[in-house]
Amino acid sequence: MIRDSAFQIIGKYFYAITEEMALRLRLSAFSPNIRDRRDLSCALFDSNGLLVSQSETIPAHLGPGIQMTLQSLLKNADEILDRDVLITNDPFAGSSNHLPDVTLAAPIFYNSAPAGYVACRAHHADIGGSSPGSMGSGITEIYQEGLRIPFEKIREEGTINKNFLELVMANTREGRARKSDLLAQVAALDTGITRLSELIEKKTLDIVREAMKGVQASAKILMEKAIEKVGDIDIQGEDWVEDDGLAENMHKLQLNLQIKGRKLSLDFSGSANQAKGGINTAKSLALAGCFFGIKAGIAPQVPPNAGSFSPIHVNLPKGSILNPNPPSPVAGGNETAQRVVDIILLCFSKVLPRIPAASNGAMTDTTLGGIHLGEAWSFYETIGGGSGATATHDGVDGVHCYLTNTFNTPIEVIERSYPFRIRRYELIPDSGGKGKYRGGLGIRREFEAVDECSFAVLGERNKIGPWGLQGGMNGRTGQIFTIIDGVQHKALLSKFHGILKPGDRLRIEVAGGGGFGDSKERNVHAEDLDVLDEKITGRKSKE
Amino acid sequence: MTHQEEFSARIGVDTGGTFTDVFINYGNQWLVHKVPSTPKNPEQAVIEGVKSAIVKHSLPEQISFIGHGTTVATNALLEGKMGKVGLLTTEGFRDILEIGRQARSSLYDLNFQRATPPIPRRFRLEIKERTLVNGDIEIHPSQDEVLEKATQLYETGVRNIAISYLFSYVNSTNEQKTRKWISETFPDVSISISSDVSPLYREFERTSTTVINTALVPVMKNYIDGLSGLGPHYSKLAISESSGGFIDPDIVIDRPIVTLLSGPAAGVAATALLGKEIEIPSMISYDMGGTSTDVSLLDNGSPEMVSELWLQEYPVQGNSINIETIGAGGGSIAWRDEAGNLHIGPQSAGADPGPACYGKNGVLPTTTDANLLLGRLGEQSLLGGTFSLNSELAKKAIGTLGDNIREIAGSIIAITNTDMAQAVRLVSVERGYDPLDFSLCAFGGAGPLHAVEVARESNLPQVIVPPTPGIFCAFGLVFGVPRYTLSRTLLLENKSQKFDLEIMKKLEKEINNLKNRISSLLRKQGIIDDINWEVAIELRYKGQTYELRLPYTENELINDFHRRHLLRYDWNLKQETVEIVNCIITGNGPSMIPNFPKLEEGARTNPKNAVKSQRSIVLDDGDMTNAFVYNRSQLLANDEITGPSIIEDYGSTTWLPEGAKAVVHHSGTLIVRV
Repeated sequence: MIRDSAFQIIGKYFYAITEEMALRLRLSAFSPNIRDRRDLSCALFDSNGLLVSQSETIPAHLGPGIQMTLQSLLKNADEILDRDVLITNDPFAGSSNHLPDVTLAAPIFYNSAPAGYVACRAHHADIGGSSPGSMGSGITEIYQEGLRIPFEKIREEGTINKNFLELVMANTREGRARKSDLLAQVAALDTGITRLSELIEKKTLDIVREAMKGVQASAKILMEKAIEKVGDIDIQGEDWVEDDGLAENMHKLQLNLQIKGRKLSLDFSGSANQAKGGINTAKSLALAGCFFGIKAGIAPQVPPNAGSFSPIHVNLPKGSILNPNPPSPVAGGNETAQRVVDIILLCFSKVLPRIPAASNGAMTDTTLGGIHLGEAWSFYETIGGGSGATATHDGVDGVHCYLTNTFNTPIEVIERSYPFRIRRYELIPDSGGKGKYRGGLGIRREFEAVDECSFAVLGERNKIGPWGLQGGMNGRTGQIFTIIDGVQHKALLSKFHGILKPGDRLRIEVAGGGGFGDSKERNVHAEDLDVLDEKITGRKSKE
Repeated sequence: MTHQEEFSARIGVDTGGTFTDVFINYGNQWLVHKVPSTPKNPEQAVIEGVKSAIVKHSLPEQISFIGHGTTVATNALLEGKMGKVGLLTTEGFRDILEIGRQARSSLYDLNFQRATPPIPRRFRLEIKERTLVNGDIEIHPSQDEVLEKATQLYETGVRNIAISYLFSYVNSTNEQKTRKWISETFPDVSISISSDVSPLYREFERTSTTVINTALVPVMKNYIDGLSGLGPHYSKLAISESSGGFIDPDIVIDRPIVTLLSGPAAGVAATALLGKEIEIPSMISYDMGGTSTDVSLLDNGSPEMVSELWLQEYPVQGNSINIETIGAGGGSIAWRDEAGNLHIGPQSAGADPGPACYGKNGVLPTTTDANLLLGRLGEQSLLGGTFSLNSELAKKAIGTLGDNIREIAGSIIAITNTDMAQAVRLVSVERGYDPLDFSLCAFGGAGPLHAVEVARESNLPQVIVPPTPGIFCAFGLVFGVPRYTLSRTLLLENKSQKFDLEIMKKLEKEINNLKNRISSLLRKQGIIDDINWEVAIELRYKGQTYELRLPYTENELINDFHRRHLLRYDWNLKQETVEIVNCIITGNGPSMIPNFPKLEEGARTNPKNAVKSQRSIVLDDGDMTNAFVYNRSQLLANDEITGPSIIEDYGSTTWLPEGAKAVVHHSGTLIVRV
C-alpha cells in the first residue's frame, strides 16, 4: 500500500540523487568553472525521458530545456544499452543551450528493465572555436563557436570511447581539463545510476515508477493551482535585446501571455528574426527561460519536473531570435534568455503587485585567453549586477539574477592561475533605479593584462536600463571600457571583443536593478544610510 | 585519570536555550544538575550552575577542570549583535565583504534578501596598496592615507579595526605596517590583521573570517570577564572549540570564532570517548533536539574535519568538526501544500509555545505530537514525569491535517526520519563512506526516539544510546582535552614525483614555527611535555581550486596524494605538478579516560522487574498493540530488550520498533541491532 507520505519520501530521494550527482561532479571536476563556479546541473528522468527531479544549481539548465536535450539524445540513438553514456553539445541536433554546455546522459536498467535516465550538463571553460572560452563576440556562424557534437556515445557498454576523447582534447584549449571534466561527468552519472538502483532494490521497481508518476502528478496540480490563482488574463508585453555585436540595431521581443483556467500560454510571435551575430537563443535555453519566469513569478515552491511544465504552452516562432535556424551563432543566447525572463515578469507585473522591478538582466559572459609561456589558456566568468527593487525592499546589490547563479572565482585564485590581474571589484554608486525602494547596485570589475590576451564580453542593458515599476526609475545602464596605453575608450556595443597588451585594462560595469514606487515616498532614514554608505552620492545626509 | 585527580571533581557546563546542563564527575560518581538558562546574561546560569552543583553534591572546593560549551559567539553572529568594526581593504575592493561569492541563496525567490554584512559600507574604507601574487609589493601604503582613514573611522566611534589586504597571506608587510601606524596614533583602538587571524588564501573568506572575529572580540571579552564570577574556579575553566578541543578563556577572547561550534563539537567529542569505551570507534553522531539536528561522522574515532564554516552567508575559516545541521527537530511543524502533500518544517514551534501537547497554547501539529499519538512518547515520559504531555491537544492539532490521525502521525514520523536519513547520507555515503561500517550514536532529547528507524533508512546496522543521552554534550565537556590548531597557506609547487629538498626544508620550517606557537599556548594550560601532534597537509594538482587533506608523511606525501585522489574522485594525474596548499598543525594535551559505570551482570531477556508501565502503541501497518515501557535505571549489564518496546530515562526516550534488539553494555550504553 502506498501511503499518504510515500511519494514524498521517495521524492526526497529523487531530489537527493540529483543533488549528490551535482556534488560528485563538482568535487571531481578539474576546472574551476565547474568546481568553483558551479556552472552545472544534474537531472533524473523516468523511462519515457520525462523529468522527475533536478538539482538546484543553474536555472539556465532548467526543466523543459534539459528534458528537450535528453529527448534529442534518445531520438538520435539507434539503440541504448546498459552502461552506455550519450553526449551532445549541439544546439540544433542535440537541443543544447550553446556549445560549451556539454550534456551527458545514461540509461538506468534494473534487471534489464528500463527504469529511467540520468543526465548532467556542465559548462566547459572552452570548447574550441575562434575565440578563447568559446563565448566570442563578432561571430556570424556557429562554426566559429567551437566543436559541435550532435550525438556520440562517450561510453559504450562500459568502455570509454578514447578516440572521441582525443578528438575533443585536440579541438579545445586546455584539453586535459576537458578530459578530466568529461570523466567527472561520467562518474556523476554512475553515482545517479547506483543510487536509483539502490532505491529500487529497497522499494521495488513498481513503487519507484509509481512514485515518479506521483511526484509529476503532484507538481502538475501545484502548477495548475498557481496558474488558476492568477486568474484569466491576456497580456501583451515587449522588451528589447540590444546589439548582436555586429551592428547597433536593437532586437524586439514580443510576448502574448494568456491564462485560461489552468492553462498558461506564452506566444512570442512578433519577436525579431534571428540575428546575424551570436545573440540567438537556442530553443532549449528559451524554454528554460520561460519556465524560470513562470516558476519565479507565480510558483517558486513548485518542483521543476515534467508535471509542472505540462500546463504551460510555449510558441517560439521558427527562425526567430528565440528559435534560430542553423548555422546561426548562439553563444550569447544567455543574454537574450535573461530578457525572456524580464518580459514574462513584466506581463505578470500588470496583474501581480508582488512582482519586483527588473533585475540587471544580463549575464555578462566574459572570457579572456591567449598563449602564456607556450601554453594556451582561457578564463570564463559571468558578472553580477543589481537585482530589482520589490514592493517591500530595496533590490540586492551586486548579485546574480534570474537564469544564472554561478560563484565568482576568488581573485587570489585567478592571479595565481592566469596572466591577468583584477584591479577593481566593487559596487557602482547611484546605479540602482530610484524609487520608494531603490534597485540594487551594479558591479564594476576591472581586469589588467599581465601577458597579451584577447577578450570578449557579452553584455546587455547597456542602452536601456532595467525597468522600474509603479513609478520607480530604471536602473543605470551597464558600460564597457578599455584602457589601452593609458587612454580610455568606451565600447559602442554591449557585445564587444578585442586585444589587451600587458598593462592594458578592460573595465566592465553591469547595470543596476530597477526601482519600485515613487522616490518621493522613500524612507528618509534609508536614504540617509545610503548616503553615509556612499551607495548614493550628490546629496548630503540630513544628519 | 592521574592519581591526584582521583578525589577531585571535574565539571562540564553546556548552555542550552532553556536549561544550562551541568555534568559532574566526582570520584566514581556521575552527577547531573540542571539550572534554568539566563539568555540575556548566559554567564549567570554558568556560575550559578557550578556553584549550586558544588553545594548540592558536597563537592570538594578543589575543582580540577571545568569544560564549558558556549553559544555566546554563535548567537551574537546569528542575531547580528556584534561589536562595531571598521575595515581597511586594498583600493578597489571595499565591497569584497558585501558581494561575497556573488550568488543568491534562493534560486526562485524574486524577493530574496542578502544577510546584512557584518560591517556596513560606511565603515569599510580603502587604502592605496597592493601586494602581488608572488609576494612582491607593488604599491606601499602611505602613512598619511592610513592615518587619515583611521581618523575617519575613529571619529565615528569605531574602536575595533580589521585590516584585510589582497595577498597578505603571501606577504603581510603592508598589513603589519598599517597596524603599526594606527596603533601608534590610536593606542585605544584594537586592531586585527587578516594575516594573523587567518593566513589562508581566498580574499572573501579571509576577510569575512577576520571581520567576524574582530566583531566578536568585545562580545566574548564581556562574557569571559563575566565568568570571572566563578572566583577561584575560573582558573580551571576551559572553553570547548569547534574542532573538539578545549582552550584557555583568555585566548578565546582574541579568537572568539573558534567557539562557533562549541556545544555541538563537545557532543562529537563525547561520541569519540564513548566509542573508545565500548570499542565501537566508527560512529555517526546524531544529536536531535527541539528545533535542529546535528550529524557528524567519526571514522575510527577521528571526527571528519573541514577548514571552513558558513553561517548566514558568511564564511569563517578554521579547523572545525564537519557537522551537518538540519533545521528539523521535535518541534518541527507539519503542514500540507495545495496538492495535499504533507511536509515537515522548516517552521518550528520551538520551546515556546512548543508542540501542541505541551499545553502552552501551541496549536500546530509537530513531530513530538505525532510521537505521542503513536505511543512512542507517553504523557509522563519527559523529565522523569515532571512535565506532562496532553494527548487530546496533540490529537486536535494533528486532526487539522486530516481524519485518519494515526496514519497522519505515522507519515509525519516517516517524513521526519527521511529528512534525518538525508543528513546521515550527506556525512557518510556522499563522502565515500559505507554506512554498513558505522553505528548511529543517538542523543539529544529526541535522538533515541528516532534513531532506530533513521538507521534502518540509512542502512546503518546498529544504534548506540549513551548512558546520559539527554545531556551528552555536557558529558563531553567534563572529559575535554586541551588542544590548539593553527593553519597556514604555503602554496609550494613541485614538478617532480618527489618533493625536492628545498621545498621539504621550507615545509619543515613552517611546521616547526606553528608547533612552537602551539606549545607556548598549551604551556599556559599547564601542558609542557605531553603533547600529541597531528600534522596534516592539504594538496592539489596545480590548476585545481580545492585541496585534499592528508596526514603528513614525509617521503610518501605525493604518492599518498595521488592514491587518495583516485580513491575519492575516481581519477588522478600522476604526471602533473602537485602543490602543497595549506599545512594544519594540531597539538593535543594528554587524553582523558572517563570512568564509565560498571553495571552488575543481569543477562536477562525483557526483564519484568525493569518494566515501569505498559502503553498502547501504533505499529507500522496501523494496528495497535501493547508495549512494555522499561525504566532504564533498572537495567543491568547484558540485559536484552526486544522491540516493540520503549526504554525511558530522565532526559530521553528510546523507541525500539519491531525487530530491533537492544543489549545493555556494562557501561550502561544501549547497543541496538536495528
